[in-house]
Amino acid sequence: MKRKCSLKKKESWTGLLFIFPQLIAFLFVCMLPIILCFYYSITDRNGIIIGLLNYQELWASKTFLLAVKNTLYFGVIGVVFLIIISFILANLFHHIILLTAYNIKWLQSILILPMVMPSITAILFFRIIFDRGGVLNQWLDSSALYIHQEPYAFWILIFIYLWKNCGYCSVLMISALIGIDREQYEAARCDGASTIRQILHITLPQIKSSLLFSIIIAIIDVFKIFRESYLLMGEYPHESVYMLQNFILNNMETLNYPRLSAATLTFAALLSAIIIIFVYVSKVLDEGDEV
Amino acid sequence: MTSYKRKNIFIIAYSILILFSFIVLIPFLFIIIHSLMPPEQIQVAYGALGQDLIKFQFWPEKVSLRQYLRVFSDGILEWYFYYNNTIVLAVPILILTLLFSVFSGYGLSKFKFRGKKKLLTIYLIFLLLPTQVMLVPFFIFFNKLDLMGSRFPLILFCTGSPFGTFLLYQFMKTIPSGSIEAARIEGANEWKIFWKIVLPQARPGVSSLIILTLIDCCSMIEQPFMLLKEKTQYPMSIMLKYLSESTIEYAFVLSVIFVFPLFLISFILQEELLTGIGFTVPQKVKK
Repeated sequence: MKRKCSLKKKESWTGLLFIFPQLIAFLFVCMLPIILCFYYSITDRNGIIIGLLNYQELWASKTFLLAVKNTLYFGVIGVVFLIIISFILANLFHHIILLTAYNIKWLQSILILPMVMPSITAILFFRIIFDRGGVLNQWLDSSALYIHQEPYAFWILIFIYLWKNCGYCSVLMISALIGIDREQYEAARCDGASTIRQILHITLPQIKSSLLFSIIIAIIDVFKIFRESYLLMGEYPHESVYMLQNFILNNMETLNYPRLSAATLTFAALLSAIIIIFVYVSKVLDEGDEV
Repeated sequence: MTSYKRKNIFIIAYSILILFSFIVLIPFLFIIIHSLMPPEQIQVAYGALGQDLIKFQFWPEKVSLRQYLRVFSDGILEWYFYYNNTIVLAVPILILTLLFSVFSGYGLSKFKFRGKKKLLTIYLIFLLLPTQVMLVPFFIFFNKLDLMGSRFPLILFCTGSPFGTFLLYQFMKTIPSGSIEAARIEGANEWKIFWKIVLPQARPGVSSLIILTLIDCCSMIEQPFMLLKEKTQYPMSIMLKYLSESTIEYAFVLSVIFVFPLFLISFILQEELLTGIGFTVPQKVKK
């Protein structure tokens, strides 16, 4: 019994040794700066501790609220669209694989190409299309549809987001779909289940974990799309696409540390709350530990 | 289902996919075709971009490689200088990220210790925080320590993110533990197990991490803006940003030159990239 105990201890020490280098880097890049940030967020510009006043001020500011609202709105719409479209794409792929038993790798490789392209080169194309005097406006013979206009700015950004990430997410899902036992579909078909019921009762429960993982990737990409927005629309985009990152970058110019820190921490706290609930409800990190 | 109906579904599915991949491909074709246009034509067509109506052109009036020649032999706009900056940044970032993530991915996926789930949750939170948000505390912290001024903070910032760890953690979970335990019983030490058994099996995961890291290095814009003080240290991505706003004639050519190595690498690692992406999903290991 004692020997087993010491073995376990040894194992956990080896594991800790392996994660040690990353942990140190992580500490310096993420943890310590955040702690310093917390200190800044409760002081004023002269370094006197003033409690939560910065946070109050932040939540009273209209631009901050607008940024939070826009980010949430964009996130929800973007993630829902992305997951639905990549699910459909993955199912089409799966269908072909089922019928011909041939995994079409070359099409998949094309679909993940946008991921391999640096944002700046893709933006070169999108600027020419979506500019005020751009191709789209000339074809439609108008000057309304462009990147600084009310509903279009938002949807153009959603379009770029989908263009960039659909491939990655559908490749993620395809490999989960391939793992499903084919006989289950045949059995269901024999019992007279419709395609929709097959998807609801066979496909979805079995790719649950990969669906959750694609949602994580999709959320990461929602925040990454800011780079495209920044390159396409500059530092002061239209109100409807004014994101949290815009807020932070604009405040960075004035070097208002307390306000910046408060914004960063508020954002981190909001996101952490969502993630912790997500992790403990979906048990996405538990799976595989039992294997 | 009759074979006739099956064939119909097959054709519909295939054509939707091909249509979709064509939409995905348009920007690439666009940039490659435009890089073959003579600079004067591009100047006429897109010189007014951002101010006035542009004159969109799809085909080059006459295919020319003069601009490539000028870029390579005259070294116009000193692009190789910025290219070099990108490489100087990308190589250490790639090596450090790989080392860190391979080790910690293995440690997290195949060992049990207390607080593992908490650590993973913290990693996940920081993974999801946008780069720009993380940049602020990092900038303030390093400014306070007075470490700004070299490339070091930028390299550290890119390697400290837990993305690689998380990716390889997900991937290495699918490696069966049986082979590791067998080797352990045979008396192999941990170091040997890691190099001889785990790493060869993790190849697809590692190659997708290589590509994702390289892409991140090549497309960063805000990080160098904030963390590099000298303009001479700016990488190619920032130079292209300015170029696309001022001298658009050469932007297409330089874009192609910039993107080409990335495409080459991802083409070579294509097979492994696809499996790498696919298997990072938490899946049930078949016994």
